[in-house]
Amino acid sequence: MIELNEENLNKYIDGELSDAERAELEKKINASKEFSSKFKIMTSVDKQLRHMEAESPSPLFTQNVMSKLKGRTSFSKAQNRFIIFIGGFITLLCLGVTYYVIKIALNMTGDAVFNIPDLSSYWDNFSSQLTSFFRSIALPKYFTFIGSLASFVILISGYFFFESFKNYKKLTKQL
Amino acid sequence: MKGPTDLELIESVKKGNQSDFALIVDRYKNKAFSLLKRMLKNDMDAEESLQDSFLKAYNALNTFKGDAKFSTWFYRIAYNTAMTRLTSKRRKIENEMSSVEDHFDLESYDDFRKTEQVNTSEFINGIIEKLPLNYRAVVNMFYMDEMSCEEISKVMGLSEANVKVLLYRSRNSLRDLVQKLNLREEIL
Repeated sequence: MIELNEENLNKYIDGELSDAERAELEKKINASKEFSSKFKIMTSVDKQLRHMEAESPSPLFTQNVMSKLKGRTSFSKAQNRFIIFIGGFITLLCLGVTYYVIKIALNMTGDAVFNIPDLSSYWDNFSSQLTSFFRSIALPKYFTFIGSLASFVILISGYFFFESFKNYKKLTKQL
Repeated sequence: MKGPTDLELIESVKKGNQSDFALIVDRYKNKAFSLLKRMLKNDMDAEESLQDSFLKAYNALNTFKGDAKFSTWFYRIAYNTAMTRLTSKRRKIENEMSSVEDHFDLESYDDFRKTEQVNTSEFINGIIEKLPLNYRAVVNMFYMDEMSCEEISKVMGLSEANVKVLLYRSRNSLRDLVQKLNLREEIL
């Protein structure tokens, strides 16, 4: 026995009732003026809703999405290059500092403990070459050139960093 | 479905064929736009949210494992984007969850009926607009996107039973509005 209520009207519309239940409910609906009216409206609205078509965004929508994706991909590539550049620079700096620290430690402890012949001679040779190189360019006459070069590098890096930051802000705003 | 399946397109995009993503956009833009427009009640907001949804989906494509349908996964992104947008605009969603009658502007709807010769689907659209947010979303997903209650429950993060309750209430509200506004003739 099926009750005449709103839940069962909805179940009828969704086809969740058995044939016997449907027939029984239909009889009860026809016997009630109130539910008959409700049922007619519900089935009609349901029918209309099933035939409604989806709306479309602007005609250039797909194109806009794809151009944003492409822009973002190229930006992230540039960002990756920038990160690799900065990362490489920092790694080199760390290696240099590590080398310097090791060299100082080797010099301080003497040959007894750390004297591994081949490695030590290699380090000594390399460090002396490096030291002489830095000494040769650290002469007062090169100071202006080194200063200009450093300023140039800082300026370029700064500009690039600023542009990246601007693009990043623009991108986060879009999102 | 004609052409490549969603999974084939996704695999292709993952391999680097970015242009295949355009096919996915074309496949889902209309239905998702309808959902967002129903939720946000504004073309511009809906289009911006839809664009954001596609960009988010593209970024998160690697996390899509294919356990669920792509459409369900994508609609969840779109639904959440719309909800975030609504929250950021500080719209009082809670108010919309209260009685439909409190928020149905009878006067404006009468004007709409008198001044414009509209067809039945426009009447229906006008009535749906007056439903609370969750009802609008459920009606749209169930009818226009032809999603099952199970799929809708995944999109909205609700239980299937709750989705059914929302759907029943939406239908009942639509029916009550038709009766209250004497729109029987237009609808039947």
